[in-house]
Amino acid sequence: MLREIIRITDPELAVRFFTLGIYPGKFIEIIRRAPFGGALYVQVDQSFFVLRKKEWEALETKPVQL
Amino acid sequence: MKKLQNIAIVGNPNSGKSTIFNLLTGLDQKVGNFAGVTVEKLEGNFISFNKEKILLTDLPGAYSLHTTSKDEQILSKCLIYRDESKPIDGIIYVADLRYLHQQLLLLTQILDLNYPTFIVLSNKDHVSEELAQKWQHFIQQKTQCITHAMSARKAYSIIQLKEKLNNFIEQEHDLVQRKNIYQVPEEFKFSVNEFKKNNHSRSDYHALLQWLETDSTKNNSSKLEKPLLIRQQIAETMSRYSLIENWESQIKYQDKQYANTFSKKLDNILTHPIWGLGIFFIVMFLVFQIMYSWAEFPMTAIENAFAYSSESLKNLLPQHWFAQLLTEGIIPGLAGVMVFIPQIVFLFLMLTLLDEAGYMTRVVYLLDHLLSKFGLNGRSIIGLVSGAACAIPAIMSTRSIYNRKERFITSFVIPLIPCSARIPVYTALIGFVVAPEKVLGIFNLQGLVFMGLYLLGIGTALLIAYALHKFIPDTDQSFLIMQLPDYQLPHYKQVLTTVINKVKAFVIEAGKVIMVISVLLWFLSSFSWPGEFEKIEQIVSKEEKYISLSDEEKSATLEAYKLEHSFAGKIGKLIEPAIEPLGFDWKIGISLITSFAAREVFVGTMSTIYSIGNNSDEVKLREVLNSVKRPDGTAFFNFKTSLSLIIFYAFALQCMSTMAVMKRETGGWKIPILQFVLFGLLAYLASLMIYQLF
Repeated sequence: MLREIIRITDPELAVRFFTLGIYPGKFIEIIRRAPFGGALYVQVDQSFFVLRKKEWEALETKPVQL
Repeated sequence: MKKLQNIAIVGNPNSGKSTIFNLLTGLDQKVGNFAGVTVEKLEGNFISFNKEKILLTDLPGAYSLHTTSKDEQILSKCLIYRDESKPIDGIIYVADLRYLHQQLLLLTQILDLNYPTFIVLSNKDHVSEELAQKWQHFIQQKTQCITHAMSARKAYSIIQLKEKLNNFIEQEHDLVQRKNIYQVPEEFKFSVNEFKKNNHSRSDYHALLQWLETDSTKNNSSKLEKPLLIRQQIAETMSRYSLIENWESQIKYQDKQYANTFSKKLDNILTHPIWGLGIFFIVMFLVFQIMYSWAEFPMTAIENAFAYSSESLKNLLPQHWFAQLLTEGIIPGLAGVMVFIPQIVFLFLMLTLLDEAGYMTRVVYLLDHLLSKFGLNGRSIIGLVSGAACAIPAIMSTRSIYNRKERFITSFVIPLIPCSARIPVYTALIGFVVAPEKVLGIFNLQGLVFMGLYLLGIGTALLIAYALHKFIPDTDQSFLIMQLPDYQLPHYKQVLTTVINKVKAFVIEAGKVIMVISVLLWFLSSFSWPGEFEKIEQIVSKEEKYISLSDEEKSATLEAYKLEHSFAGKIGKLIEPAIEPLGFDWKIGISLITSFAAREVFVGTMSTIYSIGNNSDEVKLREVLNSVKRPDGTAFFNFKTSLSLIIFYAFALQCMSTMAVMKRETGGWKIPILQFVLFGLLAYLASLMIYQLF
């Protein structure tokens, strides 16, 4: 499901997210999850990223109404 | 006019910048280290059309000047603090046309530092010709920098690249004074201007960065509190992205979703929660299968070549200590280094192919969660797998792990992974532990024990990692977030240079230590107090048993006696009381000591002690060891002694080269000595338990 990033709550992670082009206003979609509650595989624009659950939780998102 | 002499290649990770570097320099490269840090520095020469040599440095990939990893810090060290002996005076910036949105961020920062910049837009063959042309003209016009959109697989593209680089080098560069894209915020303007007057800052932005963080790499406190600094970095990044978004809207052209459908489809299988893991294990199994089977022939060939040259030199040269040093110290030492090269080449060849193809980042994704439970990172897997060939390049590969704690734990436990130098020791002894029979009709019992030894090594590595994880406080935040590169066909030049550089690292790092130790060991095992050898020779030559021997047997027997009474033999006897509870005698004691050059030296030393000549293999050694008896008539190498010895080798840090590399990576002897004591204790206790319980 496509979600829109509203805010990044952890400031240190925010620097990392920002430099990768993941910031408020961008749409993000979870493609799949690694086994046993592991990392998430997401898509932002045309790029694919992997991130930990904790990092995903630092992203405040809302569903996008298409 | 000042000409450019020292150009750095800068870009995001996976932007194709290493490929550009290889295209421009060919195989004429040098691996060095950056001042003060242990990050590999790749340098090469570009020959300009005027036959001038321009030094090119491939800086580690980074997304921004606000760095997070040790690798990325190099970038700010070189470009902001300029503390290299030959400061960078120009930049080739490489950006992947498919991901310009992110990749332009660092470019705008670089431009604000006022370096003469040549911009290369890579992977043109993955986007439409129209898009590439539009961006090339647009960026060239906006930045006033020579810009070249290209594909590394097209010959004319490469020729144009070289032509444009030449124009870039020939240009006048003194006058570079661009208007900064990012303006220093009002609140800092006064301080930054003051700072700029007293320092040789290249631009306002350069002065701002210098002023904000006096030097982040030296842990000096920043001008701002951390939250404020982060806020400033985010504000800067945002303002740059709004410029990039503005550029994108001006281009008004987007390719239809070229969106890497191939990568996406492949990932449906390769990163699948179940199939993905299964495929990973199959891939690793194949990698090791191929490594061992391909390396077998060249290894035997190298061993034989050295044994042959050592033997023929022995017969050719006069009996002199110098001849002995050559044939018994230097040549075996050299052989000990060379013999591992085939395995290291094949393992790194396959790992580099997988990495270049984009597969290894998927493995990092699959295993990150599991490994993070042990205080490791998904990226640790590359070091752990490489450790099965040799700990030295494996430890060096941990540099790409961002988090200091995770990097430390990974390099700490790597020496527990069974490396290729342990294999000959295991092969020589395994026959005394289990018979080569079949279990359940298909499995070879010895093969299963080998497998068990690998699992033991991996298991112990994970356990120790876990203990360290609980024991060491977290210093900096651990994170994974990374971009998955598209799958691609590996570029052969890229693969070749990576493998060559890894092998070079092994030969240089391990080589010098192995050589020194093997010469030292030659001295210890060929000399004794003056006159002692002559005395022994006189006593032995009168024995009846000796007189009846053939000439060859005579000299072998004498060799064994000499070794017994040499300094090494004396040390072996000295430590005998300590290793007796493990089931070892002084003969094994000598071998334990000589193994410090490299573990496989065990085989050679044991062969000399049991007087079968020192150029013998594991199979011949096994036959002789089989006939060694205890005073009560039973075999000396029985089940428990042999198993105890194997276990000792599984744990103990019997490798001086590994310790030397750890010293360099951690900046002192403290950690390697800790590893040595800890793994030694573990080895001792495990062997003690086995010998005493069975």
